Amino acid sequence: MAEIKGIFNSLSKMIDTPKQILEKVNEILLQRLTKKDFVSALYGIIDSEKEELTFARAGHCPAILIRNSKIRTFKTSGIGLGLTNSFDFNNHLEEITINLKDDDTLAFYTDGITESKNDKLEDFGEEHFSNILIEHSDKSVNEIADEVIKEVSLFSRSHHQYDDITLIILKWNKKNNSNGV
Amino acid sequence: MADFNTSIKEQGDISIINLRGYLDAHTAPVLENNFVDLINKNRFQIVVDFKELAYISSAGLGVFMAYVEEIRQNKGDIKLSGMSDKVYNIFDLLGFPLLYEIFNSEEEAVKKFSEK
Repeated sequence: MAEIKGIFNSLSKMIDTPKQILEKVNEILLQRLTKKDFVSALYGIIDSEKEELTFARAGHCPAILIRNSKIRTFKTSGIGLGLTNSFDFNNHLEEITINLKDDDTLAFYTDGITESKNDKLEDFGEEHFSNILIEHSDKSVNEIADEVIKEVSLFSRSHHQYDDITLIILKWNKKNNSNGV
Repeated sequence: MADFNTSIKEQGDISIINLRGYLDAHTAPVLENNFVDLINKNRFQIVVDFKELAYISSAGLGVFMAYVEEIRQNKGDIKLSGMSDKVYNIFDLLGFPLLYEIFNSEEEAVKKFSEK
């Protein structure tokens, strides 16, 4: 994990677009990882002047946008890092740009949330996750994250959590020109 | 830890691996051994059927990448079939449908080999 972060950190200073960064990371990881190993990632850049988020998804969970209590899921085309050669990876990697509006909420996450299990081995699921995000989208980023983690913990309280959980919630507010985690 | 096992049947030049139970990082070596055995026997036309697979973790997916290159270099392929929606979603998220042919049934996957 530290090595992956290091690679992204270095490349982000030299390369300007999410697609190009992910393509380069794939090239590096193909040489570094064994064939069985791969990494999923979503890389995005926020342009605060243009009020835009540009991102690409390499096999990772989709990006989520909640606007006016309506949810949109962005499952753009993209293969996991380290899974295939540059030709296939680059050809299938889609980069998109979203125009941000005041009070937009963005959520990025790992499958440790949606694949959390209860004692019946049922998944927490994407719908459950989406409903919590919609219900609490008028709250602060910390409050939304707390609600998600609380619900996941309750749901999986009688089943061991095997996977790690990462959750990033951002809110766009032009007036303050700030975003939070 | 939940169970995982496989069975292999042969249909001419095609080998069909049926998966059962829970495929994750702990149980993946069972399937790895299946691939190694088939490669050692020069059997490169392989269908993996997921009809009886209850669960696959993202770590379990790595097994499919470990041997596919060697198999394709030998003019073979790994074709996948019979996934539940839940299992398919995990493959789909990682972009596997762009790398592998995935069929609704074992029979369709076998037929595709015969059409070559």
